[in-house]
Amino acid sequence: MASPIARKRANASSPPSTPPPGSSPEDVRTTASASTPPQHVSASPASPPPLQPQSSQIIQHHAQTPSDGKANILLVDDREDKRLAMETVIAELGQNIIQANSGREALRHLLNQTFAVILLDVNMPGMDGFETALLIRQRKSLENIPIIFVSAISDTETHVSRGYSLGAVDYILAPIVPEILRAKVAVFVELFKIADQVKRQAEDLRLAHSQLEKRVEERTQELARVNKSLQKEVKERQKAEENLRILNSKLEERVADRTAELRAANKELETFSYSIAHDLRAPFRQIHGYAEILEEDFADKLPAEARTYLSRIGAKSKEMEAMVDDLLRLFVVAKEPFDVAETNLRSLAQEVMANLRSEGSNAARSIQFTLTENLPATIRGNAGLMRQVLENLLSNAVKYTRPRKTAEIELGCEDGEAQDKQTTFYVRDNGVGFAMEQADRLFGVFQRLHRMEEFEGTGIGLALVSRIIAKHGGRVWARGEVGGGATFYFTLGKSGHDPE
Amino acid sequence: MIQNKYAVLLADDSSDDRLFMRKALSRSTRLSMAAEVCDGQEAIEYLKGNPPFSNRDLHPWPDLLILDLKMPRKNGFDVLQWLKHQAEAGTLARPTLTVVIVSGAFLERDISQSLEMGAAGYFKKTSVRREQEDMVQELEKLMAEKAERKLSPES
Repeated sequence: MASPIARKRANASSPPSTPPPGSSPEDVRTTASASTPPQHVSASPASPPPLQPQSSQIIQHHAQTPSDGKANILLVDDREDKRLAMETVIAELGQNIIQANSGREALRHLLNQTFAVILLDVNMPGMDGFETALLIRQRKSLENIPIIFVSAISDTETHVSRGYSLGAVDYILAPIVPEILRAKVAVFVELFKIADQVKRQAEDLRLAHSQLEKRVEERTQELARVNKSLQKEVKERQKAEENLRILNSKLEERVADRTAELRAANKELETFSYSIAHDLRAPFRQIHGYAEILEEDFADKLPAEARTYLSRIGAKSKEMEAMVDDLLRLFVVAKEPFDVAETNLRSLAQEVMANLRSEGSNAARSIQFTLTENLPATIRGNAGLMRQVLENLLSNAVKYTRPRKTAEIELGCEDGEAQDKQTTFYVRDNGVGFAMEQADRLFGVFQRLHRMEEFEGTGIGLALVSRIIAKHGGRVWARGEVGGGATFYFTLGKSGHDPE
Repeated sequence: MIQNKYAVLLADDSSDDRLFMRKALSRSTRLSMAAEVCDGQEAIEYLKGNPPFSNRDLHPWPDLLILDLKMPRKNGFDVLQWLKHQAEAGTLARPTLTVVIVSGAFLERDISQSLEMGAAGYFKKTSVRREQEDMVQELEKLMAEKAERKLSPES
């Protein structure tokens, strides 16, 4: 075995075109290639990949790690038989074995494919193993590829050390021990696969990372977009709030102004009503007083006609005084706050009715007052004001039933409509009534539907009733027909009738 | 007391109302108009006995002061206030004075304030004979009750 290697070594300096004596001719290699097992990728002319890469696509394809999970092993030896021998040994590993018969061809393969390990024969004609290794190492992408030198030269330490200095990872000396070769190649195949796996995982990680980054970027942009619109909204809201604040303060200002005005007006009204109470009614009272003195002290000195006029003067001044009193009550109700309490409606009504009966009944007519059964005993209201309401409504009823022989006057109540559930109270009479088209005039101040000669009155009573009811939160209205009696309705609002 | 009648001092700025009150009191057997003044200031001067009221024979100390509320210078409330101060200080010549308000108005506020400030009663001015008689009767009753209380302070 020593001689062929020596020969081969001797041939190394000779031109590559000259086959060394005893070496296999070109046709043998071709034949051997043809007999290569199908799982082996061979560098034979039968192999489809061209010697020179035709396009970047091919480079890319070859640069990829074999997709079948097998690692590529490059066998570089000028001798067919040796390549075959080694192939046989490592074929058991089940990887792709690519053969090259020269350093040049090996380099070509290395350009196109990735290899787990290179088994590089040291003694080759032309470019020997060391030269080939040197060229391989010069390529950046190949500087770490494991190279196992195969050499028959066992006696030279220099070869071994030179091989290592050229980046050999290992050194196998011929004659080859199959188990050692196989084991060593297996180690590098394993290493390659692990490295490949790591590379793939790193690639996956990189991919995942970039996808993550992309998603983060997208999300960030989305957030920025949302943030921007939120900021816009916040700004708009702030602006709206500011506007509201300005409006509010303006409103407050106006309310304060208005309140001050109202307070001043109220003060004025108070002074006015005080003045009415004390001063305005005084002259009427005094006129009446003088008329009375005249009538009493000088009755015998006055003719009958003069006495009649005197009594008219007295009556008119009394009337005027009553009007002023009513007007004053109207002011007081409008202005003064009042307490609301449980008020006995039935007894209040009976009291008022008793007074009216004694005043209004005479031989010519009788007054029939009725309190309906369903009338609640008590209501929530101001007793003093509710008395005024009943006095006005009932005395009106007495007044306007004067032409009737029997006055029928009923105080009752009806259950409220479903909506507000408020009890509706009413005072009904069989008096002269009124025309419905005049109903809205009933509750106005100084509004009268009858001549003074027909029915006396100040024209304030119902206005007062309306104001008192409104103060209680209720409502007042009336129904009637000419000659067919009148009914006055009122509610007392939420503060009014307590259903319990 | 003048001839067994209670002496009345009337303070009212209206000569008309003073006339009506004079007429009303003239029908009373228990009350006698001792003096009339035109406003609160004069009423105070009268009670103090300041000139021109320093002569108590001409201007006797009254048993009853009938006060109008709305008067110029000092009104009825001012007089009530002054009386209260005098009573508290013990500087009133005769602490037996009874004060009632007779006013043209019947305002809730006026009534409660008057009674709070020491008035024994509140009457509304009236020109109706019957009402005047009622008022005089009430005043007589008031004075009689007071006299009774004075006789038996325990009850």
